[in-house]
Amino acid sequence: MRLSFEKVLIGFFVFITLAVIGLGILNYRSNISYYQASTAVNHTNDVLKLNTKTLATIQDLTVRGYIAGGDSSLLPAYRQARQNYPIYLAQLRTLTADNPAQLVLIDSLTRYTQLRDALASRYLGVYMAHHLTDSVLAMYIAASRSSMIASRQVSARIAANEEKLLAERKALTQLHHSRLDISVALVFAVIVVLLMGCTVAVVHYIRQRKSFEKNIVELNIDLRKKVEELHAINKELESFSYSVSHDLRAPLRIIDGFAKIISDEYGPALDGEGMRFMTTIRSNAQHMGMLIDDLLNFSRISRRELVIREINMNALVENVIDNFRLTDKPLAEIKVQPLASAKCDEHLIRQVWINLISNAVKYSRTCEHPEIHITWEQTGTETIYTVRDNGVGFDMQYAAKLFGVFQRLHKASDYEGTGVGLAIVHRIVTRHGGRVWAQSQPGAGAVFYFSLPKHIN
Amino acid sequence: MESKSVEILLVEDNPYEAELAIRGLKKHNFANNLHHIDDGAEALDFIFGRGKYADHTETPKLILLDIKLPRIDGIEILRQIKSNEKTRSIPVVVLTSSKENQDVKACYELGVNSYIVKPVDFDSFAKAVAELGMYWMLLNTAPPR
Repeated sequence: MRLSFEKVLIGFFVFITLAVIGLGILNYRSNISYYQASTAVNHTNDVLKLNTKTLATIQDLTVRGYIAGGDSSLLPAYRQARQNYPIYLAQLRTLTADNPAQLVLIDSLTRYTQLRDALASRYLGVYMAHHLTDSVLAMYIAASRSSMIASRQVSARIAANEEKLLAERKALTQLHHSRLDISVALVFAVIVVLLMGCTVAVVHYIRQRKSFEKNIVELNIDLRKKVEELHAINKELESFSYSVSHDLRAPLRIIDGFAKIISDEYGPALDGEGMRFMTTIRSNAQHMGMLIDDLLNFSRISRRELVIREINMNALVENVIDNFRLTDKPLAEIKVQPLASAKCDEHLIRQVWINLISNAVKYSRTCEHPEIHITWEQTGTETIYTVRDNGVGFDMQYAAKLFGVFQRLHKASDYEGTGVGLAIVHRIVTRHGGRVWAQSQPGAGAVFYFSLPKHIN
Repeated sequence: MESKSVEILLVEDNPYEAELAIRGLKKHNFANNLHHIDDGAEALDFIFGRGKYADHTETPKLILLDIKLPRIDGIEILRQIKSNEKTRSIPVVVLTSSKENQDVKACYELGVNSYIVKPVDFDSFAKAVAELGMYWMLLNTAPPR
């Protein structure tokens, strides 16, 4: 869901980017076209103005006033017009150089103008030499007028052509202008869409975030509930352990206590067999007491919080062995290699060493020369400690049972114990994130391995 | 019994445990001065001279106290003894099923004087008494049979 929204968002932004680029190009081109069209309109206006000016100049190209009335004040305008008209006509030709139809018309205009000019200068010459008769004057006037009429007509056609062009160009300008408007409007539209898209994205992410936060809060509440439940269960377990230790052991104590009273005070009244039964009752009551104690120990170790520190294993193992030597009868020869230190819970790992070494001692005591070797090795991720004895060993067929609670591979009559020691070892090592395993053959001793990871959480 | 001076008060609800304890102490002539109560509330009445023990004003010299009791438990009794001016100085020895019991720690925090791991026999009793420095209590003891 989230991925697809992101894809849509990426698509949206790619689209917006392309749209902005396209619109930029369109805008630029519309701008150029509009500029060109407006330039063309101005050009046509220039042609029209020049055309009007040229016609006015042609109008002035007459000596009629002077010849007819002797008004010499009109001569400068004539002379000015004579000087100007070729310039104007040339300018007109230049401005319309791209329009053959106009050039043809300008050619005609030029011819009529030249004719009018020639008429004027000829009749002026004649007038200067001789006095003109009325009839001659009338001839000039008629000729000049008709040249003017022709010029006016041509000029009007030129103007008409230009007007037509102007209309076309104005329309084109309008078109480009409206295109420019559209492209600007489109740019705004894209900006609006972009803003809307951003808003949608932001709102979406805020909502998503809020829902995540809500989830986290809910999960935390759940977790707190679970922790509380766990605490409650732990408390229950503790009170259960308490009742086990208190209520279950009380009858055993009483059985043992009264059996002791019978042995002590009524012993003489019993025969050997009777005394043996009393001893059996007492030893079994005591054994059951031990089982309960071991079970409690096991459960206490499972619940105890780990205190991880760097531990000097050699010091720990030597201390454990010294304690054995203090409390037990002379035992096997124990050889300890210099051991690597490890990060672990000292109290619990001490229990592991106690259990493994006492097992090694117990199961090798029938040997002639009991020997125990304690060694270690390092792998990439863990440190492996080994306790090797040359005792009775066991059949690997039953190895799976070794680390179970109350599981025993030897008869209680041969080797005392409750079958909890190795289960405790297994529990402690597992809680450290390590492994425990064994190798053996009946009569060929046993090797117990336990590993501790280099990094403990 | 109320008229007689009580030296040891045994508060224990399990009759067999009590019997074992009394038997162990009787062999050493302690049972004559011992009063047994099997209920927490009654034990408080006895100690503070209330209820049916209203005319009993003398406090015991030593209290052997089981922790798990009907109605009012041993810890509460200990708290009341140790928070009362009149009874604070009476030595209290707690009877526990295991020395690793959490309650032993709680009892020490409340000011218990010693503890005995059950079953209560004369040897452990004598050890607790010796710990309290109450040797006079052992003076009238007959030698064991």
